[in-house]
Amino acid sequence: MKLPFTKKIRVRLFFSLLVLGLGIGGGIAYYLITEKFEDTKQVKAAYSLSALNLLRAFHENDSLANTTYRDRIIELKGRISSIEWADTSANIKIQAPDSGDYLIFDFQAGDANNTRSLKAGDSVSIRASCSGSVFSRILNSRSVQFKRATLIQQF
Amino acid sequence: MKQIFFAAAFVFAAVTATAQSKTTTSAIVSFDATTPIDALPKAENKTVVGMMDTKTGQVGFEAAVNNFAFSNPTIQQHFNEERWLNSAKFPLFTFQGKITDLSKVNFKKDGSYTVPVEGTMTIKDKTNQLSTTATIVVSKGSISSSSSFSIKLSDYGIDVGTKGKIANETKITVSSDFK
Repeated sequence: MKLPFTKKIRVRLFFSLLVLGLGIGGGIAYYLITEKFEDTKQVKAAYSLSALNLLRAFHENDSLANTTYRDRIIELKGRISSIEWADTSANIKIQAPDSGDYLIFDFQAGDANNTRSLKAGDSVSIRASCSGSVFSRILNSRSVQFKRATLIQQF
Repeated sequence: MKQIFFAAAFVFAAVTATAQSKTTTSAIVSFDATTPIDALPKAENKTVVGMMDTKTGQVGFEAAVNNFAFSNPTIQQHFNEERWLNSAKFPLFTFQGKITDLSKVNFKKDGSYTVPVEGTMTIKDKTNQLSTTATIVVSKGSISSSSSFSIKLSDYGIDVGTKGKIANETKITVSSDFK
């Protein structure tokens, strides 16, 4: 059977496809290695709700709430119960009034300055990546933890 | 009168007992498993629960695996998935231990003290003995601690592969301000 191209063209075609494949593969690898998390402020929240309603959802059905909210960007409104310093950045806690359960937010690097003026009692809107809930044997309470948080609004 | 005395004594005892156990929900645990060919496998968790009992020397930490923040989304996803840390099934790293020589620290006097700590570290479903030292700083009534040590990921059933992109000997740093 006669092949459609001459040997010279087939060799050129083969090497061209090889170079193209390596280029695409290298490009994807480079993208995956150098990719950074986007600024949370620029990411649309998958859910918006009150902090206490989120705590209630985890209290009522921990498994379902983890399936729904874990690894999602969530925007929450609530009143700050306390602020804890972790190194040079502030963690914000919002605690359920009727149990020891709490939400805790670790802020993304660029937001450290925005959180300095916050204090317990302030009402805020925060957008963050939900890491799901864990139960602490030390504190005998449940926490829902967040990372890469950003302050959206202070009321 | 007797009842009032006993009630007051009970309240005093309860307050004293609580005061000996210091806790935090904002301890920091960072780990570094980088190698010369891959600088990405390192992360930090700033919402770790910690406890230190100044009377008995008991210490404990609980770090939510899924709250370790990486700079790179792909590495963070790999870290949490089933073949690595499987954070959905094993949501916490825990350490339970004790300051084995409490005489080396005076919690009533400002200063920096180096103390030996022994305990057990649990990652996934594997628990191993761990011995290290910690630095405790007492300043104006507040207590902070820090410690650095290494663990072998293979001791916890974590296969780092043969490509040399993740260090089997991983450096862990723990720091906390107790209240």
